[in-house]
Amino acid sequence: MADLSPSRAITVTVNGVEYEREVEARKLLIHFIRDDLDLTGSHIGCDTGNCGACSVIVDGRLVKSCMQLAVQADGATIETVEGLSEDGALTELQQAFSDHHALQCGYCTPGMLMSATALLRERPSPTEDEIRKALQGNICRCTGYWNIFEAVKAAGGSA
Amino acid sequence: MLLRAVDYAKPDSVAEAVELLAANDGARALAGGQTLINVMKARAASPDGLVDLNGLDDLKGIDLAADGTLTIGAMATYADIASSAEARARPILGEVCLQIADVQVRNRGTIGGNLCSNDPTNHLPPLVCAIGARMTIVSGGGERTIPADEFFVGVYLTAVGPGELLKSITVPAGTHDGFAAVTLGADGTCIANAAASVGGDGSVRLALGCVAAVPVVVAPASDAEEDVRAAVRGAGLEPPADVHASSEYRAHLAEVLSVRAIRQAAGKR
Amino acid sequence: MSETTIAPAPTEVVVPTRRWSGQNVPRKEDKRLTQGEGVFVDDVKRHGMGYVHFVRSPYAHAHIVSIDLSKAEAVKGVYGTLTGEEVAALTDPFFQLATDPGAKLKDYALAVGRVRYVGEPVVAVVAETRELARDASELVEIEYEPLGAVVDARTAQDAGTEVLHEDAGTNLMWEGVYEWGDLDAAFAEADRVVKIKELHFHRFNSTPLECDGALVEYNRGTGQWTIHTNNQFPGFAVIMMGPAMRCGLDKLRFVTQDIGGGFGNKITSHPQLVACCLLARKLNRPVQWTEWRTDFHLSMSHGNERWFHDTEVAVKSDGTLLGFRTKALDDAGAWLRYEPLGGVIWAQVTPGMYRWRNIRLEFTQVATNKAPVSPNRGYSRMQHL
Repeated sequence: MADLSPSRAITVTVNGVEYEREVEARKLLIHFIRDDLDLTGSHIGCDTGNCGACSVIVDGRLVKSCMQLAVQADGATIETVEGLSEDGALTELQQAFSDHHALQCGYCTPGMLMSATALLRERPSPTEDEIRKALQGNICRCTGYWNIFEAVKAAGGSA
Repeated sequence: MLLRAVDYAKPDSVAEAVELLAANDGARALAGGQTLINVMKARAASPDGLVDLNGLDDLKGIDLAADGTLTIGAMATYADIASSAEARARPILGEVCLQIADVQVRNRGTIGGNLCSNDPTNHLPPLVCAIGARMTIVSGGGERTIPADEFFVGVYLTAVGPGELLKSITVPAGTHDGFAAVTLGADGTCIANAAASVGGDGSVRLALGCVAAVPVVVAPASDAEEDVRAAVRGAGLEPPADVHASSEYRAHLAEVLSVRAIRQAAGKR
Repeated sequence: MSETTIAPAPTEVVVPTRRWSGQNVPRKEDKRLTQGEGVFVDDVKRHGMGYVHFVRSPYAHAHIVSIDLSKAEAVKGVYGTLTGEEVAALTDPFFQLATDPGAKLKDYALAVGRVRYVGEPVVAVVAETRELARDASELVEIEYEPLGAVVDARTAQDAGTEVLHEDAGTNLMWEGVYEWGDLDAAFAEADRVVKIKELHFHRFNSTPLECDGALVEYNRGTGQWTIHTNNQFPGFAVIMMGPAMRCGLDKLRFVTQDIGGGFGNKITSHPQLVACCLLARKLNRPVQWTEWRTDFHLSMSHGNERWFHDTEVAVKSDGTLLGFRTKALDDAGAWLRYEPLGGVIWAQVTPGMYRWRNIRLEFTQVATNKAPVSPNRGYSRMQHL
């Protein structure tokens, strides 16, 4: 029978790389990704799971990594912003963000990119309403969102 | 933002899960975590242990029986329900699930978690009351099934006791349902909400959320607006006041949203 | 005649066929920011660094009776602590931008003797992990004697109201009059005078997505601190910190790459930076601080709260606005930090986009038991315009 324990050894695959680590049960997945794995692209913007700056894709589903324990990701396949581009070349989505000035300070951007990536996988040519709904869980304080919508529309080929 | 130290287990079976909960007084079930993890981050509550239910496939199914009875496992996520072909037997469920928060929350948050946390502002407690759902609770000693009306006991309290788990929610097929809410921003927390169901025989069930510790179930004489308003006014509501709404405003919204919810439900006849 | 006395032929000027205005100019930083390769302050790590958690006041106004750190310091993995008493011994108060009475405030990196707003940092705890610092901070025992709280700027100067700062002897922090044009003539020419008895603009906050933070290293050999921080105005921070820390400005080296939004809110983190500097020196290890959103909302960079009293606007019947006068009462919170600059800067932009020619602003700034205000969006009270 499974025992209650304060920590456990977990194995996660992040952006194609497998990691084995011992973690405290209380550690949030976002802290594991940032502090233990040194993948600092995903960010923390709030204490309450509202801002979405920590959004990553776990086993194909977009989640807020601050609302999950690292131990819960044992065996999971995780994608973060660092895994989007290959060989440092910007993807169409990332380029669209730059072209449309969908970022200013860049702090919300990784979360926005992951949410947009999840959307475009399911809906390659999303409508404006679908984009709005898909980005509902991501807050931006700089841009006013308009350029982000335009960038996602452009990347979706429905601009 | 940083949890207190906690013990953790991830059982492989429902039997194991209830055994762990029964054996560990300070342990709590961890479902989607979209509420509990936040509570623990704020250190508003810090269980000694967490029994992670996410490995329990037995609790994730959405099954439609030949007679139209829909059984939803407690660990089905809002996203699962919204995208399930079977769940379309009772479409209001998916429609309301899509109004909850955002994609990220819907991918992890579960119907069981929503019901068992029984926050007065949650969407699903009034909804399951309105549509006449039945909840099956499992423990080491077996299972029992109770109607939704008896499931919600108090703020954050349900009929699920120590050592027990909500296993599934059973709902008859039907389409004549409505749900209306006033929320903090699109898809935000409800300030007031109302769920309604209109039976083939013209009977009307109405459940009001956000106005009391548990959903207030009301049975208007008919789906006519005057009857709906009369029923809500006659319910003796004393809603709480907070930064978002005064007591009077909540009571007023309860009436308005009831009319809307019933109009939606009746309109689908 | 030599050729040098002949004026050279004019150079042919080539007029560019493309100008920058109207062009989409891509940014250099987008490439790294969209790939998650930005370096924000919490991304910076140092081997052996200690994580700071600030224990903050739960009271709006209270005497600090006693502080017991023994339980917190006994936790394995806790590297050390810092209190207001130490700060008062090791540093001088931050100099004040205000004239008297505000000039008399004794503002330190941690609360000394008294807390004056909910969320004011009282003790800093440094530990091996973030979680441990948080856990240990719950073991710090502080005894408070609550005092009456001043929460309404309008009554802050009334007799009998608690005075926040004995050194000033009053809750009045600063007052000044800005007058431009000829008010008497404007009001004489007016067909009517519109009077607005009272307007209140409430507190708000610009809420950048990234909270404040720093990673501070101390070099014992040179006595220099390296401060990785997202403070958006290091030039201001350093001139506040140097004199307070009794060191030359060359001893404070600021390093910044990416900042997750400032909007003015990241200007007044110098008190926490001083605390981190003292800790880095005391503990002989790098010290890392990341502010929590809850702490930020509670106690950092509020802005904008002002009452306008007895506003009078001179107008003509054809709609021409001739001038106005008003009394602006600022609720500055418990410490001045960047004030009264906020009021002064506002005076510079008061006409906004309108053709005012006659204006009189009587500014009063008072201290209250609320979070110290900080710039929000440049002119610092945009909403009032």
